[in-house]
Amino acid sequence: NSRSAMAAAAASLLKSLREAALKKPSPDVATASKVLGQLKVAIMSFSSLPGMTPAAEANKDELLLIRETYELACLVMVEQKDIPGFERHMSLAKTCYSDYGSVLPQSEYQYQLQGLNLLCLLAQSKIAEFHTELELIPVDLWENPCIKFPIKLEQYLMEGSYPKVLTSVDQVPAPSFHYFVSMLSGTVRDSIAESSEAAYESLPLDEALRMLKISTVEELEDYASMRERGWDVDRAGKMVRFREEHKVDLEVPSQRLIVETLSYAKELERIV
Amino acid sequence: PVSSGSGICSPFAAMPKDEADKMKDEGKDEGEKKPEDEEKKVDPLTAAMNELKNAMQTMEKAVSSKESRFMSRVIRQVTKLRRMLSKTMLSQGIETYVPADSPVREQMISFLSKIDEPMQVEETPSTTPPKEGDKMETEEEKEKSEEEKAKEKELAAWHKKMLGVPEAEVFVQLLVTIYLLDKKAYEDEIACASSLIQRAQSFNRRTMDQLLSRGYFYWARGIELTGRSSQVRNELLAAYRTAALKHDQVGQATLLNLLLRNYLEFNLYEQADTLMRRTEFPEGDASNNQLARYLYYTGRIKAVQLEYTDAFRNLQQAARKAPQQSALGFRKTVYKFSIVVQLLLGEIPDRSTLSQKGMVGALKPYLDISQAVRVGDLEAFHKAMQEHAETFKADKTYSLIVRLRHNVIKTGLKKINTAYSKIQLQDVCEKLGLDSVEDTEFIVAKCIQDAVIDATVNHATQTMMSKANLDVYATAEPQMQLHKRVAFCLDMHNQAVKAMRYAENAKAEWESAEERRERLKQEEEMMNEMDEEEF
Repeated sequence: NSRSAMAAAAASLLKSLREAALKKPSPDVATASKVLGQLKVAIMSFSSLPGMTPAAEANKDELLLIRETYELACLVMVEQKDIPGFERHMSLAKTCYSDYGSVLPQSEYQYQLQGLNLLCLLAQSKIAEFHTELELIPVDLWENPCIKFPIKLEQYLMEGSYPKVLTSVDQVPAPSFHYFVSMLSGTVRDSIAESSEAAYESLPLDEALRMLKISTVEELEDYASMRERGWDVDRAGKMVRFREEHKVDLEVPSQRLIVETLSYAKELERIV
Repeated sequence: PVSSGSGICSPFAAMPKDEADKMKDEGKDEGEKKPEDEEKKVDPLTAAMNELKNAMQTMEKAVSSKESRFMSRVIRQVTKLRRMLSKTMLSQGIETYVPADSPVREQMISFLSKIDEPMQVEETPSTTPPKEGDKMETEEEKEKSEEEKAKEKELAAWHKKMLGVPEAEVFVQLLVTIYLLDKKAYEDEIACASSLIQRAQSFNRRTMDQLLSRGYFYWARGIELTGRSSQVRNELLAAYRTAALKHDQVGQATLLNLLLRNYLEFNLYEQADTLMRRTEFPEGDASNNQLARYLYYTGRIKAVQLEYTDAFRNLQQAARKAPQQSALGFRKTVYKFSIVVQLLLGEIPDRSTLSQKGMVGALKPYLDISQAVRVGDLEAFHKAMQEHAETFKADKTYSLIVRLRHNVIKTGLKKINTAYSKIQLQDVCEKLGLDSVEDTEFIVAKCIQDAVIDATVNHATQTMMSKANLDVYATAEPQMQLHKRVAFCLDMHNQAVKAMRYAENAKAEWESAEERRERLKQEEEMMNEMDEEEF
């Protein structure tokens, strides 16, 4: 009947999607996106859609198919460097994990995708959301390499041991992580620049280059001007002087004091 | 198996109170006739029935006056009654207060009969022949005085009236539910509770709200204990909507708490957060206990989202609003989270919090962690974490404790900064137990940027130099601290004013004055501690 014919068509589409998405050395993005579009239309005709049908009633095969589609879609999005797309498909895949986790067998991509999701949040400095997501992953799974990786990275970032972050580029658990890690390196560099400003009065040029992992002085100047940091790159003396912060706040925070005093007056008046 | 209704009702109406109770008793235990037991032998059954009667009287007042605090008092009596519940007592309660035509009566009776309870008094399923009852009655009647007769009539009239008060019926149903829960008959309990909810909702009376919310509470608890919480979320949400539409404050509060609890059980912090932001907790009418629960849940949510100041404030308030004499388990949990959040804020909880009476054992792992953080010793921290990992995971504080690692480093750095005016980065690295000097340099830089310490790093000589310490009185710091305390006191004053009520009798007034003195004393102590800590 038509239902099974559609299911078969969807299954074959999924197969071609899988081939396109998992092709080594790099996924075939064009074919994958096309097939993905077709698959989504096919899914619409399924009887059990994630989020609409309760776990007990859902058709397992259809759900498995749907789940794998979204997982592969996520991988394709990462390849295309499409972050909103990745987040969209990730949220769809997440419903499959959480609501139907009891009826479906464990997915092989689950940890990789969860790790990718965490890393994506981290690279965008969405730390609060990072932690909320992390709470959803049971603590025992934190040892899994895909998940341990973003956790460790977050720890290093919080502490400020940036060298560790930058060396961890070599230790990615899966090739799909590379994109986010490179995004992260950019964030790291900004953080290093900020902390150096606060901590050092001046740095020898080559040290600055080494710390920020910038190769030439021109790049450093570009970076400094692009970020409007007010650095003084002194080529002759081979120094980089940072802004002098004379933080002597002599002014009275009048606004705040006024508000506070007024609230005291109001409260005191209320006392009968 | 319960004796037929008619056999009880008629002698009941004509007898003096205590004897009536005992009569019911004896009506059940076919074999045991204790005609000599006419003194006020306070057997548990009688005492329980008396309590029930008190509760019913208060409830009647509540219904007639439509004031919610009478109802709250009735609910409070439930705790007292809970300890006295027994199968016979409940059967009698059903007999007395549930009208014979109520749809739920049969259901309750069937639930009760399923419970296997060792009988305290020797009883056999009774079918009191009315003749016997009547015979006893005629004998007694001859001995009664005029006064007693009048009292009985009053009692009879009152009981008839109670039969017309649906709250009484719902109340008895609530007691049955609680009893089933205590006896671990979860399926029955859930069924009883849901029928309670339906029945209470069908009446749509505001005075029923408190009973309804209690019904919801026990229903959800039963569901939780049978592990089906994930399936009932939609129902809870729908119930919350209904409560909000009906302006049922108590119901709203209870249901909101139930929902948050449900989400937190499954770590669905995002959804809990959305719920928290979109809804408003009805602070006016909700009981203190519900407010305490709400503050605890919201505190936890905020802690996960890194809003530590708010989280800490909520958790502290939750600890204060929780009943101080009972609810030890709740307070333990609240304190556990509050300690961890305090550590995450960079403050060290003082010993008195950690060594409270009755909590020392539970809080011991947190004591170890606090010590490690205080000293700034990463190794001790790791050791403590390893040792108590299981406890933390069970308490659901593990993820928060993992975040403490960089707090340890920060505290350590702070201490080094105050101790040394100039120190080699290599030494810093060793003291803190970090991996390499390069790491240390970056970490120090980050801390300086975060304004944790006030220093500069000299890269050439690889040293960290502290800046001269300002006189703290010259800054705005004292004024801000003062403001915090003043705001707190004013807030407390306002809340106390809001909570004031006209005394209904002298005793109640006495209590509130006592409580207020207690609270003032506690606040004063807290202030003194804060003062000692700061300077």
